[in-house]
Amino acid sequence: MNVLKGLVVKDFQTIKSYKSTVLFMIVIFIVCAFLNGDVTNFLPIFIPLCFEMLGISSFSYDNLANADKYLLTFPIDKKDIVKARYIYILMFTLLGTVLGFVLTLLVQRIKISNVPDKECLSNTLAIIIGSLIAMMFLQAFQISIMYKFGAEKGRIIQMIMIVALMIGVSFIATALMNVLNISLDSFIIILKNYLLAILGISVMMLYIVSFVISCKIYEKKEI
Amino acid sequence: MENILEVKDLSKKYRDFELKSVNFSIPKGMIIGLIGENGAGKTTTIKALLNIINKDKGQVKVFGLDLQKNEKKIKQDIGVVLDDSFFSEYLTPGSIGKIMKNFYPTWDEKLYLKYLEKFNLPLDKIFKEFSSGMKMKLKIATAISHKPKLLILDEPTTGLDPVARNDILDIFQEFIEDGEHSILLSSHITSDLEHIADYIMFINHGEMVFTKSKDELIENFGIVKCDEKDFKRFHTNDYVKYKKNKYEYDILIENKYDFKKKYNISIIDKPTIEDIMLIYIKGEK
Repeated sequence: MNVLKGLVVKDFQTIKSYKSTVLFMIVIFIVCAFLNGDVTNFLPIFIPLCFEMLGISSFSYDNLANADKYLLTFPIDKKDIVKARYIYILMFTLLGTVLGFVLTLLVQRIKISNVPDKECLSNTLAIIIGSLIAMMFLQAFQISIMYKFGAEKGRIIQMIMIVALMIGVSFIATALMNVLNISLDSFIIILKNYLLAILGISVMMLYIVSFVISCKIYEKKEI
Repeated sequence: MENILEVKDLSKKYRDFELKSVNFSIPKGMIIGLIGENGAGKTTTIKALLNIINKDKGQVKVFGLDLQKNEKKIKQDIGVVLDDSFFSEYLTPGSIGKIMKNFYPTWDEKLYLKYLEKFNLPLDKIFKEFSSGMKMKLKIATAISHKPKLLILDEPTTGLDPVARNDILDIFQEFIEDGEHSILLSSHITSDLEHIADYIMFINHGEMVFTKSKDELIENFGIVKCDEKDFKRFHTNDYVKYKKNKYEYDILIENKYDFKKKYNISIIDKPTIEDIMLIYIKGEK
């Protein structure tokens, strides 16, 4: 357990030197949220996304320092390194999600100048959970790709993959709406009521499958 | 003498390089220098014996235990410095301390801080801004602060000025003083090894050429400098290799006393480890 803690602490300590950049980005996002008409379209998506990308960037820092070779001289095995990387990225994404949610509520409160009503709160919550699920869905692919192709090549491949997945998901969603003959609004309501839970469970399973695949890739990989 | 590390038949094949059945052992309380030119297989040997790269075959025993079966336990007592790999340069020595204490139950924060102070390394500066000497000192402080029994160092003195090199070599001497600790140190700066190593292992093209005590190398080996006429007198079995220079031959002799007697030669030069390595690599037979 301490070994995992050490690996996660390593990633957090590395990103610490970027705290002023992260803070600057958050301020920019908040300013944009004030300028943007609907806060819920912006903050709950971009803040978690920014944190998610910072989490994934841990691959690049380690790649630059060739850190994996050094880590393997410690009393740890390859599986620990992969496990800690998943924990770190997930923790960072959750941190971004919580921050995104809190900041959205704060901006809403200032902009609307009264306490956001129940429906507004539930919409924000649905969007933030939706974006968390979407990010975990992407991550499940991203992390395995990073292990397979390395930080440099992996970055390009994951970009292509993200675009492909977005097109694929929107194509499936549009097809579903057409087949079921429902509007986008009703689709969001269905998503809120039923699909979030189903998607959440599916994404968690996908995450586990991704972890097992990444472990296998990393075990065989020549560091 | 009890061995702290035993390597048997260690092999690793790449497309363009092969480590061929490397065998050696390191007794307790000794400093072993692994020499060889760049690309000879020093780093591959270290990485294969530490299981960083997947070896094709071979057995590694550390502290009498099989590394494959007891990797985590064994690695608690090993400190490693790698030439091309460390933490991200955006970390500070202070944050490295916070990280390392999670990996080793024996991590001694006070000792680590003592080394940082001794090496004049600031606690809260990212080490990207350090000189190469400071970076190496940080790597060494990090490798020895959990009080390992065995230190494995890949090119620890490369890029250091003579003062920093001397400081570091002193630390290595201190480390083995009690007779319980050992060091495996690879370097192509052979003069450093002449100062501190007890044994020298020479690797060339992925093959272990020899493992000999440093004293034996310096006392028994010799270099005969002669012209072509003299050179033709010597039987091939009586020398290791020769190097033909513009006006003379440098001949490497393994037993200078026998050679002196046999050919009635009065002057045989005492070689440095670098001379021996050079003639082995560049010489002919």
